[in-house]
Amino acid sequence: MRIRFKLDGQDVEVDVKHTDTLLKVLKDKIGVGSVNFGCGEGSCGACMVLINGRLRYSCLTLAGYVDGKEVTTVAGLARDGELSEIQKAFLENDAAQCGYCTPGMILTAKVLLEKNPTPSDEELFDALAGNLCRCTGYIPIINAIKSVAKR
Amino acid sequence: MSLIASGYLTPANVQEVVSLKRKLRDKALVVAGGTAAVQLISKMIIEPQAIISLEKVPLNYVKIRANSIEIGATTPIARLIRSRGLPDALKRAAESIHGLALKDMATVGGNIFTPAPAGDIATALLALDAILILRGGGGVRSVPLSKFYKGPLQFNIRPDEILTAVKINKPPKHSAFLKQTPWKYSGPTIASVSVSLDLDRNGKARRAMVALGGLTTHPYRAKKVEKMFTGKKLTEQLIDGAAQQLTDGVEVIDDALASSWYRRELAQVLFKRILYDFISRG
Amino acid sequence: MSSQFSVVGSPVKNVQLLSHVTGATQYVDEISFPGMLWVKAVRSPVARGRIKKIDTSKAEKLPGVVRIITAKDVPNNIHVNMAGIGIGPPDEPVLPESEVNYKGEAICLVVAKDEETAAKGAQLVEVEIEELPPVLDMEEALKPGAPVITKWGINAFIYGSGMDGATRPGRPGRPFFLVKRGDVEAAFKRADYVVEGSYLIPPIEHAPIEPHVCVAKPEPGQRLTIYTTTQAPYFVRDNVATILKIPASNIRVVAPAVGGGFGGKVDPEFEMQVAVAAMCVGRPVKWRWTREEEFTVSTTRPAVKIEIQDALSSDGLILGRKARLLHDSGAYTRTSPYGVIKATVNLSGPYQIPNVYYEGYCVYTNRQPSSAMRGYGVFEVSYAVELQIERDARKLGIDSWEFRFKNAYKNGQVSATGRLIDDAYLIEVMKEAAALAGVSLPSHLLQMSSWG
Repeated sequence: MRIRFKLDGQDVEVDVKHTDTLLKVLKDKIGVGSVNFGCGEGSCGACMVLINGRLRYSCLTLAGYVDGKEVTTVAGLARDGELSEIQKAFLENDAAQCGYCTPGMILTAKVLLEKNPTPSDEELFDALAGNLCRCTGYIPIINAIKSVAKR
Repeated sequence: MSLIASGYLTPANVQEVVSLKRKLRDKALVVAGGTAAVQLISKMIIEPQAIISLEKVPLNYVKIRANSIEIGATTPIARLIRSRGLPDALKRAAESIHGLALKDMATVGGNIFTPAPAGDIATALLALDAILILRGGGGVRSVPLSKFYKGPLQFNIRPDEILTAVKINKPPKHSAFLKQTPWKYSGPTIASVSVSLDLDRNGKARRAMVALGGLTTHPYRAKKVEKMFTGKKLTEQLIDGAAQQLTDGVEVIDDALASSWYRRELAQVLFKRILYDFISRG
Repeated sequence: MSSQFSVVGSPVKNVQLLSHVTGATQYVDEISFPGMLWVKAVRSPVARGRIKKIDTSKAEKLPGVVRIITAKDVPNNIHVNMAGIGIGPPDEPVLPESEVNYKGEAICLVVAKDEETAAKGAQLVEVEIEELPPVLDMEEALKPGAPVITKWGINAFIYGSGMDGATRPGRPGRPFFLVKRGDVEAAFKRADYVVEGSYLIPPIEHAPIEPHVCVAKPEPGQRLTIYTTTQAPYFVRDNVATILKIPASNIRVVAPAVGGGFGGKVDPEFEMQVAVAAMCVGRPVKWRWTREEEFTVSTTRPAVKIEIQDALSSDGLILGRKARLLHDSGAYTRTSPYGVIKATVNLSGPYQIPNVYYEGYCVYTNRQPSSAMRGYGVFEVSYAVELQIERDARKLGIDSWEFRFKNAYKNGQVSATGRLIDDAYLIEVMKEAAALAGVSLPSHLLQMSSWG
């Protein structure tokens, strides 16, 4: 079947099967680099995207679900070549090492701060519980998010 | 109903879902939040000929009435956290689901079907004596959650039926939920315990409901413990004695996550924490 | 520090940060070519067994399955791993001919039009295996009468025999790596106290968020480009060249950004299988491991058991140390003999022990092969040694800081392996650490130095 959706602001049309996950379509059919495969079971968060602004694991979302919707990855956050605030904060706080978890981390941070602009530590840790990082030890990531919350 | 020919079906209401279920029965997989269902496909456990997505079916609601609560089957966990007036057990169970995305994707209805080491909402609902509302070709059927689990991944639901809502009649006055995961902010459930209580004027338990999750494929009620509590005033001695009976006659999961011994001990600890806390508050 | 040096002590920006936060970093998983096929493996369901029959007929009939690759398709069926740099023997097949030695070992490969079809094809391959009793415990593996899972008759690497391909061959050797200095028995006779400790370190999975993924693309003229998530592109090149029997100069290994390695992407674990598949079908081939494969098949840090006996004098010195170290190599050699040498020579830790006798065993069991992980060999030993130091100090009734200062290496001393120590800084490091941890040290320790 053919689905149409907006991917980081651009129109996309692609043939998918009803059982294809969005992650599979983004990676293997469209070749999107700003979404990563890590676990395939909603544990690591490397594959996260925004669908109509809501945070989703693309490995747990069927491709059919995004028909007619807007999918945003971390590559779609910059506006007119200017990084979003949360991206800048990650850059300034060295909040990435290998970078594989970073797209999901940034999207989670963005959604968290939209819902709750001044999260407590507890709320921050709880929000990030669906994203795993194996390099940084999380501290720079938490510092980056806190630096945006403070502004 | 778009994409009908494609195998990805998006019915607009419950009637359309039921008619699709009558036609397709087990050949179709019903998907709500997808957090559990999609893995069945991507891990090649099942290969459904069609997907019935509930994304357009208006079952995302929480209705709080004077003497009952009704929650639509596709209500996301995040909505339970935001809603006022829900029993503590349900709120705590909702909060314990890890991460922003999972809370916003996973649904109350889906959680009922999700086996250990997930399914925390079901544990809380079981302790709240929830009733499931099922709609099928034969009409509406109400099944107590305590009679819904027939065995591992076996449910008291007919091939043409769909779960539309969860109802809690006469919500208990006191309820609590605790769970333990391997690390603090996330991870699979090693054990979870939920307790609901109604006391009479003399402080004796008029109604006590105890549910345990993570120990078996689906949560279960510790009926023996409930009987021990009914009509009694809760004391440390009674609680300690009851804790011993929590897993009596139950074959507890023994796997890489935790041994059955550890799960049993943990269930007792969580149970005692809940009830000690309760009696300490008078 | 930062005033003296331009780099040391000053933060350096990760050059990839901008591309990380914009999702522009390219990992292997983004690499794709027209006509590319996918690989999945049929894996052993048992820890040890004899392959009786591989029936591929049903899988071959599945539409979209292009080719099934077994041991006979491999030009030179030996995983040489790091034999080129003197870590051997090359005892592991690319695909097994007759026996499997760990659960999850790849028996054959299915190449298909997409990942899903390859996985379905793999499910359709019927493998008949005669299950054999496995050896899963290191102590059991060393006992006489244990099932032997190596080709040389003992479940341990034989040091000094030349079997690694680096040392002089043909000598009898020992089934352990030996470090010996001074007269350890005399030290134990003189000792006021003997303190014993036994330490177990479980295997640890590196668990990078990016699982193993590789694309191999055949090029004209017996050439091949391999795009892989690796920490060691040259190991990949040398291995694949030997296995395909083509010159190493025909192989180009491209190593884009790695989504976490931690030592788990040092071993060529699957690139040679992808390369063989690509050469067999003459098309680009991709293999992306699942999270499950990452946990159950990829290497882990070895399980290690360390037993230590310390001979102590009542005035707080370590007179001598005896130690026995068992390092679980898993089913095949990979880098383990080297890891054992690193571990064994480090059994003194950063302490001056004049009389030592250390035996380090590289033990083979029917578990997934182990390999390097952060601080290979040394991490496990440091854990055991530092716990032993605490035990020693407790036995002597002295503060463990005091005990460490007293026994720390000083410049001008000689290590267990006979090396003149000229770069000791332990005392200085401990002073800094104590200050950072808010521990106030007595003045006689603060006056100490690694020079005198």
